[in-house]
Formats: sequence, structure tokens, C-alpha cells
Amino acid sequence: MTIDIQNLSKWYGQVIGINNLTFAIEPGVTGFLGPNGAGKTTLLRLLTGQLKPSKGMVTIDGEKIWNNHHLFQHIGYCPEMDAFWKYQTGWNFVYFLLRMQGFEKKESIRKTEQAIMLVGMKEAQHKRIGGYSKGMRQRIKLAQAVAHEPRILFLDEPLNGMDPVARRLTMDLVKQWGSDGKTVVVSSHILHEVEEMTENILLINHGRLLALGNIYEIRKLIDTHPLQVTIRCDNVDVLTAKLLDFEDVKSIQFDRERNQLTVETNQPETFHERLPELALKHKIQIHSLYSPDENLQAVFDYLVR
Amino acid sequence: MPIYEKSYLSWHGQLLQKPMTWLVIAKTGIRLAWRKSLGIILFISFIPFFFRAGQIYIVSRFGDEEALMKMVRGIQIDAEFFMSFLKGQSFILLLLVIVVGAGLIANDRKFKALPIYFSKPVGFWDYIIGKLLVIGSYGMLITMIPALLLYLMRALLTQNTDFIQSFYWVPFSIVAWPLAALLILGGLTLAVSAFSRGSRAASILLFSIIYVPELLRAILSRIPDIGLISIHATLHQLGAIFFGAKHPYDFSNGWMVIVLLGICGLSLLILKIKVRPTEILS
Repeated sequence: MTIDIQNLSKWYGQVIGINNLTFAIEPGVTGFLGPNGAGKTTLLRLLTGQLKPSKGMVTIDGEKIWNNHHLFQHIGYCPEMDAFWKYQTGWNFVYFLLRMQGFEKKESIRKTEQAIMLVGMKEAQHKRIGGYSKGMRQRIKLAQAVAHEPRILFLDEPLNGMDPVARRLTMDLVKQWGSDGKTVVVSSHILHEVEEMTENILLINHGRLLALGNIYEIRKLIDTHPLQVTIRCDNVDVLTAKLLDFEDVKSIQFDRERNQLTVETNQPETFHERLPELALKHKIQIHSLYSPDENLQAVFDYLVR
Repeated sequence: MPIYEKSYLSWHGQLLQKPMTWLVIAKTGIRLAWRKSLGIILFISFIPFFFRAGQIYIVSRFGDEEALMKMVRGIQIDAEFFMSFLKGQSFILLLLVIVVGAGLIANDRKFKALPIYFSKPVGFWDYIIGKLLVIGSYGMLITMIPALLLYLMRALLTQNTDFIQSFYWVPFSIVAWPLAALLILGGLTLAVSAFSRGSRAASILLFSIIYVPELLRAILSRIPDIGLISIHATLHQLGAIFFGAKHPYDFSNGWMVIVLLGICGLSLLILKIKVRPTEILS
């Protein structure tokens, strides 16, 4: 199933949530990337027919999604926030929502068990959701989204709060569903998580489309911008002087009181290879090293600039 | 072409064209609403039923025995008998509506479950009808059903068809009044529930809306048309109309209809604003 978005806009009073987006989502996995408040959740709600567009439209295989409950039978939605009755058991939660999809009792029981097994929640299925950990709640939410075997799946920050094992399992499942020909849309603000699941991404910020396409193409674009690296060491003056000799170092800011310097480099890989050699040669002890702009927000900053 | 492990089996069956989601919501709601306090209310509500059943039995079977008739002197098994029973039940009904209905939408809002509901093939009316049925089912259990049973009992115990011939219309009134009352009360309860984020707050609000005006009406009974402020009083007046009885209050039927329609309209408006998959934050 293909999702078509045409001139889609959403206003909340005078605030614009989504600003004139036009694109199409084909079967397979597509990652929605954007910092918090970028408009990912609003976009997902528009795509799942939970919000009415202020302008433009969303169609699925040519049918409008808004107010089209028939289409909802083919959609699975895993919201970002917790959205369940905590006094229910995980099993009852999935079963109840399957009955709402229109499945008969027997079929609903079978599908509930299948979905719970799939997300690895068999042992905790009869415990109350209120007693679940964050990761377990995420998994049971995922189970209700896939239990009716939808052809389109929208997952809003599905990996939030999951432990590494559950995270890996979920990532593998998402990839599997994409390979099976389902249309899977995964929203996240963590670049590497999305990168693990798909190469096809959509970047949004302030409700605008920043980039759409292959993740590596977008990365390449980002790599042409300098990267900031902050180093804490015991001999700031010497390290600063030595680093200034390198051509790829564009600028250095240093702070003697905190024994810290921030370097801007055009070639981060070369810089990271060279730094240990330099430290050994001049007997500089490095206490910490991190890159303050190696997150998605920084990537967006570069793209917007 | 790569071969993938088929951990996610596809189902090729047919989904129901229009799933009766309201029925699923209603059934689940009825099950979840059941608790000890509700059991006590239901138990109390059946005491008048057994008392009335006893009266019917004595009047029907021992109508000729003077000593026994002295005990139930003045009891006439007519339309007013059934109206009076329903009127008595209406007090418990208000309490039951608060216990059952306060959390119906408030809890869904509290647990942010509305986006989940509306990501399924559930429309606004499916949701509202499902929730109304929860209130309606328990409400009918203490009003319409026992009243109909009493009518049936009287009809069966009477040796001739005089009772049925005289009061053939009473079952319609027995059905119509509780239905109208439950629709109005149910709508109001859901609106208050949708307005609150938690069943406790909704209960307090509902209690204030139902009982405070009734208290004021009783205190300020000398003021003309004061009964219009009380939903309890307006529903009683409505009952009197359905049973063709003398109006218990001085306000006109026109004003009563306007007030009841106003309650329905306002409830619907609140529900339309509050029952949405996504809350719009300004």
C-alpha cells in the first residue's frame, strides 16, 4: 500500500504543526527523523487519520484516510505515549483491541497469543499493565499494533525505554515486516536507531520537510560540515598548539580553567585517528572526549543553516 | 529473491464489513464497571421491587380477605403504582449512574487511551453508544426490567383480563420513561466524565450537578418554576407525562422540554469537543 501526501498542512490556531508537505511512502521501512517538537507525531496522526488536515490530504491507495474507518482495519498504530488501561492485563488489552478490529472471539484469541509471542511478552501476558516496565509497555503497545496483521504500520518512537535485547528484537521485526512488503513508518529522534532499520528516511523540522531519501546521501551532505569535538585533558596549551598545525582543524576554543578545548574539524575520521598518536607523543593525558554536535539536532542545525 | 523466516504470518480471512465496535465497548464496559459498591447498590435497589411484588401478590391473591387487605389498604395496582415504583427507583438510579458512569470516559482520558480507540475502526458514535449502553444496561436493570416484571406478575396473578385491558399502555410508559431518563442522564454523565481526568473528580462533579440543585429546589420550593433547576424534578415531571398522572411541579411542559433538550445539546457539544483521538493543546 502506498501513502500519498499532497500539500499537507496542519495548524493549531496560529501555530503551524505541519507545513505544506508533499511526498509518497512506498512499501518497505521509512524512518521519520526529527528532533523533539519537529512535527513527527503530528504527521503520524495525520497519516493515521486521527487528525484532520487543515489543508491538503493524505490518501492510501487512492482513498482518503480522514474519516475512512474501513481503511483503519489495514493500519496498525503504536503511539509514542502510554495509551492503555493500566488495570488490564497485557493479554486483555491486545484481545480487546482485536475485537474492536472486527475479529471473532476465537480468531481474536489466536491472534492475541500470536502477537504476544512475537514481541516476547508471553511470560508477562497475564500481569497487569500497571506493573509493567517501560520496555514491556512498549512491547505490548507494539503487539496491539501488529496483532491484526495490518498492511501499514506506524510506529512512533517504538524503541523508547526498551532494553538492548528487546531493542534488537524490535529492530529485526521492523526490518522483517518491511521485507515482507508491508509499509512501515518508524518515527524516532535517534539517528542510529533508524539507520539500523532502514536506509530510507525523511527528515523534518518545524513541520517542514528537510530531506527525503537515502540516509547515506544525507550523511554525506552532513559530512561536508565541520564537526565539533570537545576534549578535556591535563595540558590544554600544548594540545592546542599541536592541533593548530593540522589543516583540517578549522578553529579551536580553549578554556584553561576547565582544562577543556573544543575543536572544529572538517575531517572527523582523520582527526580521531591522529589524536591518540599526538597524546602519546607529547604525554598528554586525555580525560574525556565527546562530540557535542554529533546528534540529530546538530545535523538539522547544519541542514537548516 | 531472499527467503525470509516467516515469523509474521499473514491472515487471509475476511474482516467484518462494519465491525460492531460499540457492542465490544459496551460489553467490556459492563464487565469493568462491576465492583463491590455497585453490587451493594443493585442489592438495595431490589428491596423496593420485592416489597412491591409482595403488595401485588397480596392484592391479587387475597383481595377478598378483609384482614389482609387492611394491611395493604389504599394500594391500587394501577398506572400510578408503577410510576411510583419507578419514581422511587430514580433516586437509586442517580446514584448508580454516578458509580457506573463517572469513570467511563474520564478513565480513558486519564490513561490516554483515546488515540488507541480511534486508531481502530471506531467512530465517535460507536464510542458514545458503547459507553451509553454501559450506563443504560445497569440503569434498565433497576428500573425498566423490575417494573416490567411487576406488571407481568400482576397480569399473571389477575384472574381476568380487566387489568390488561385497562392498563395495556403502561408497559410502553414503563419502557419509555426509563429510556428517556437514561438517555438524558447517560449523556450528561458521559459529558461530565469527558470533562474530567479521573473518575473521582467526575463523581464529585456529577454529584454536585445532580444533588445540589435538587437540594436548592427543596429549600426554595416557594419560588415559582424553581423545579427547572433540578434534573431530578424535570425527570419526574417527564415521568408524570408518560404515565398520564398529575404534574408534581408547577413548571410548564414547554420549559421542561427546553431544559431537557438543552442538557442533551450541551452534553453532546462537550462530548464532541472532548472525545477526540488527539487533544488539541492551545
